[in-house]
Amino acid sequence: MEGMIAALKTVTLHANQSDWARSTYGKAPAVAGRDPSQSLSNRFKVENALHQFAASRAASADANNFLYLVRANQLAGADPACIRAPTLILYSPTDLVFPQPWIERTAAAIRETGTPVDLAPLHGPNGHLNGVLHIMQAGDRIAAFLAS
Amino acid sequence: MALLVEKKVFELAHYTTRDGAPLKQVRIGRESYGTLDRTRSNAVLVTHYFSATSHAGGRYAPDDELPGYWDAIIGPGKPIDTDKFFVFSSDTLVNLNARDPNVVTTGPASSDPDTGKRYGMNFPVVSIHDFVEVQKALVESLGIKRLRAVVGPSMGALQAYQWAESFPAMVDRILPVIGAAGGDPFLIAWLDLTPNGGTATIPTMMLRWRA
Repeated sequence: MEGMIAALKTVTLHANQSDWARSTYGKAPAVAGRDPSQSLSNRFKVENALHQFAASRAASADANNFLYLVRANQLAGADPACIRAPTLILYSPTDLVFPQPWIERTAAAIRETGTPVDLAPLHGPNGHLNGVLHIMQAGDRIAAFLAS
Repeated sequence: MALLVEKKVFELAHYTTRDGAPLKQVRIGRESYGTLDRTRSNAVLVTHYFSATSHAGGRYAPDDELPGYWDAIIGPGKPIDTDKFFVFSSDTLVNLNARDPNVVTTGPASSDPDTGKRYGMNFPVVSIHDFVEVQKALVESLGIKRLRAVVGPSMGALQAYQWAESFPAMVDRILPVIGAAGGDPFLIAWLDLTPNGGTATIPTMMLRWRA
């Protein structure tokens, strides 16, 4: 279970961003009065929060499925040059998982063959997770694209 | 009014992975919002992210603490308007949340119908392409010939790109969110780091090597 929690902490933190950590937790200690400068066992609030979130998710997760899911993602291999369907890509400029230059490379490769591609940013403090938590910013774009 | 959704199960009697491994009784969970029209031409497929499930919108029960992850954009009058579209989503193969009672997936945590025992690390390697092949079987089982769109965040974006490449005649448009096509060697290496705190997973792998 500790291994699963550690894995989920890694995935969860990487999907978020510093603006979120700064505005939500800052450098506050996990427990008031127990300063991390005083003892290694005193922790920061951001560390505790991430651990608690990962622990809550770990209960329903399967460690072997995690390994297989990682491999399935490592094997992702769609060739953008083969895509003919009109495409709207929403991206987060602060994304650490799929950085903006990778998105732009995909868009350029799809466009290269004459397929129409549009790009629109999703802003917010959550990095990669802007695509989940702040998706409503692009609500009008999504509705118009589906109606096109 | 809260959108109430019901989880259902799709079963594929036989599926051969892209790498040639035969699987029996492949089961995945699915859910939908809105109504499929008479010509079955208003379907929008939503593909989920790494740690998510088919639960993209609505609630399973009125007192659920949280709705599906994209509830902000899926529902009556919302950007993915369930008054117009039949919106549906399925749990992928090897879904992370295998122990969630609302998740139905086939992977190492499932029983092998031939032995009655868990597959464990004997489960064959599957890819995003396999996720999409199984979804295609689900789409066909619903009598849908063309999708108005495939929409999904992150790993869901990887599936959307794969749909467009594999089945161009079935996909009118794709809407990948926070994801680039084809993966990236940097991401391959980063994903390799994620389970390295994995004291729970390493003994399982060692057991297999010893066997």
